[in-house]
Amino acid sequence: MQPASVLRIGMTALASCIGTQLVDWRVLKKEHRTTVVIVGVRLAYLRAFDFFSAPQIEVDAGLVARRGGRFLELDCRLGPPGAAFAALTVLNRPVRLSGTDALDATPADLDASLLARFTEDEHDGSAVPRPVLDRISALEVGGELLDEGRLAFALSRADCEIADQWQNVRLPDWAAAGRERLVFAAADPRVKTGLSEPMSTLLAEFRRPMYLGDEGTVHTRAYDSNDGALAFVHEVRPAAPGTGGPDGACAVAVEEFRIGGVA
Amino acid sequence: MKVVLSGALLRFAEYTKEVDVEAHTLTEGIEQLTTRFPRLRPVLLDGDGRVRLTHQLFLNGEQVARGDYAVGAAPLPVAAQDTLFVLTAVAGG
Repeated sequence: MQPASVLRIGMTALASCIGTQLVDWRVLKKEHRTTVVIVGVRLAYLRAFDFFSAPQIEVDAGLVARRGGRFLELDCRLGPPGAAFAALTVLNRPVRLSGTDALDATPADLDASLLARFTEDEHDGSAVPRPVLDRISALEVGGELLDEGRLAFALSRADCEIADQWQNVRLPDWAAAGRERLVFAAADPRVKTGLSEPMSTLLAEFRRPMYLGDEGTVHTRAYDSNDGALAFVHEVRPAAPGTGGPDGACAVAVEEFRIGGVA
Repeated sequence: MKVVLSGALLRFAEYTKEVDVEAHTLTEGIEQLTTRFPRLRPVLLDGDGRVRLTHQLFLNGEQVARGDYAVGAAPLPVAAQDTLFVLTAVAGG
């Protein structure tokens, strides 16, 4: 199952968990003027799974309040009963809607009345990891850069949600497009692993949204991790100067392909 | 000055991405922008006429400090060749 499909299932699970653990989405938005935006994704494929593996899958999901409501973390496992093939973690940042028709918002911790709806074991005060940055640092230090390239893109309404802001679930597809372009043009045969083997993990971090009509590039670098994986690091950069995140990127993703496939 | 609007605001500006305004200061430019597109005013500005905290301004690629366009702040001069990007920091759709 492709990462974008897993992520879409995760978004359905998020809506379900918010409804059961907090309040109905409509109440969350209308009465609490609160919603959430995705800031991080960790997806690990646990075993091979294809069309013939099972007639249906189940989604086991739960939401945890982290750092006193600064973040809401969704954990999902997808697969037939007792045989999950994917583990998905989605880190969300609560935002407070301004109340205008643009649905513009500012980051805001979950208010006390909502936070109180979580049970004791649904709170986690530990530090929130940033696995994307850690993995990129490890690749830059210990990996071998094999190739790099750029792919331009423009955001259409089909890429966006109701506020004409990008849908985060589209990121895996843009990353895949950048990777595929690199694979087809690559001189180093190791890069071909990016299409010949199934993905093992996807990490992503969202720093600043892009919007309908925005143009940007996906800058992709391929690394041999030197620990048995081929990794593709993708930086999504806006065309408008200075409008990206602190390092210029609106989002960063790392795809990895285990040599020999999923263990 | 050229004003470039981001996607979340486009629907309030008749889907015009780039707007030319004749302004000597940032405040004048914003005023002309919202005069030309009245539906943009309540979305971009609060009741006191200040740019809402949910939007950010970038002048020639440099983020404009919020204090530079606060009420009572010294006018921030702009030139005809300048480009102002108006971005929504995040939306909660």
